[in-house]
Amino acid sequence: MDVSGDWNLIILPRVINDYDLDFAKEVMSLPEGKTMIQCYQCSYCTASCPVHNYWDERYNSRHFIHLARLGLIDELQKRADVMWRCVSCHKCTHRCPKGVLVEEVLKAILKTMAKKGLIDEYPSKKFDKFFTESVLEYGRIEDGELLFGWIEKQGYNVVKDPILKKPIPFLGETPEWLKQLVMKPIKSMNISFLVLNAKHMLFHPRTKNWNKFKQVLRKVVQEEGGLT
Amino acid sequence: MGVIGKRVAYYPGCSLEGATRAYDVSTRIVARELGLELDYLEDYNCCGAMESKNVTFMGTLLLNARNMSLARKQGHDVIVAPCNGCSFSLQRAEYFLQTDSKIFERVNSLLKEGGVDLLDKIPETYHILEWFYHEAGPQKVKEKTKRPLRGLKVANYYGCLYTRPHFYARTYSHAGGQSEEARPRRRETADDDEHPYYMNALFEAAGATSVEFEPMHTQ
Repeated sequence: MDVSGDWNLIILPRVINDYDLDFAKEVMSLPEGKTMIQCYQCSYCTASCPVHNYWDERYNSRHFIHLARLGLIDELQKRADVMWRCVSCHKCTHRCPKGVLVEEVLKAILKTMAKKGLIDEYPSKKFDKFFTESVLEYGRIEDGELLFGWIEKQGYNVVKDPILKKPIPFLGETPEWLKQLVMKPIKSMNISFLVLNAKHMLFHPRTKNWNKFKQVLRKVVQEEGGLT
Repeated sequence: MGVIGKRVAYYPGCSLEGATRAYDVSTRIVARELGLELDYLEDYNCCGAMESKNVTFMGTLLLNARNMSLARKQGHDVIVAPCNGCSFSLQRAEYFLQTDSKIFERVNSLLKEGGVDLLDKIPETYHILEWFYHEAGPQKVKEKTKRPLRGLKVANYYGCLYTRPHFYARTYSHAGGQSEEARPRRRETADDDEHPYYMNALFEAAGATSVEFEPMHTQ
């Protein structure tokens, strides 16, 4: 214990007024965010996190939970550019000794921030919405449409076919990484496989009897306000 | 051996019908050769993957509950999914439906509204590796192999969600600070959570050599 009296010289006292205790309550009212209360800040999640270890040290799941519970919204907002970087590897949730669903809690924090308008729309959210729209519409997703539709949304000039208005792969502007990623495996694929995928791109695979269920889903999504 | 059942509902998922068709075809062939039966889940829908759960909690549960309901309609207690993302989503839904009765009731009422059969019982979801390992096992794979994969070096990559998180996949093995009651149940057939070995065992039974890939197994 420090008894020299120098302690106060090192750490200046500070007063925080603008904290929001309701924020944590709101996070914990979500079914995914319920377990946030159990966290005892051991930092096992952060130590396991690949985003923290290999990408940016500012991504610190333990700290996000700490800030959310204290209600320090401005501190969370300062980290808004890294908060969405979760890769959903679930090491944090798996290894948590207190049974906190860390990955889900972090997503619940983000959700609550978005709901309150405390954070701008972040890139991963845009893709999540795009994906969910596709699921709601057809019941199933189609990889080609998802990929090239997303490329189109990113502002690339995609060539579309005149009848069905769907993007044709590789005819228009395509990012270099995608060419490298897709062209190599395509060369070694057999023709029936390519025909199947082309067919799926033109005629989206659908779930039968989907309409009634779709309406219920849309209603639920609207209640939660996820797509707005 | 023989704890999961030889005849199960098969949930391939959207990707296996398109971009990764080869995986679907080989899965069916292997299952047939091992004397196991996959009952294709008719008219299934997307599981929602990692994306839709960030947009809508209840919607994602509903998507998976619909698939579960279809499996129950076809008379199954067990769903097998070859895709890590799909098995994760179904197990996640299973976890929330089992632990929270309010959510279960809400989901059931919404299913009714959507014109889908109610869930009388929540079917369990297994990853296909787990099923192959426990219903056939390396011994049978060895017997049934026609052309051994001799000389083939394999790096077994299990992926993130095969054993994680233990709440959903029920692979709990490490000693945490939880009390005995709060500790999640471990599935009898579950693979080792941090060092999975089912795929290594099956490949080696088929004659291939597993190379050292330990730290990247589940990265």
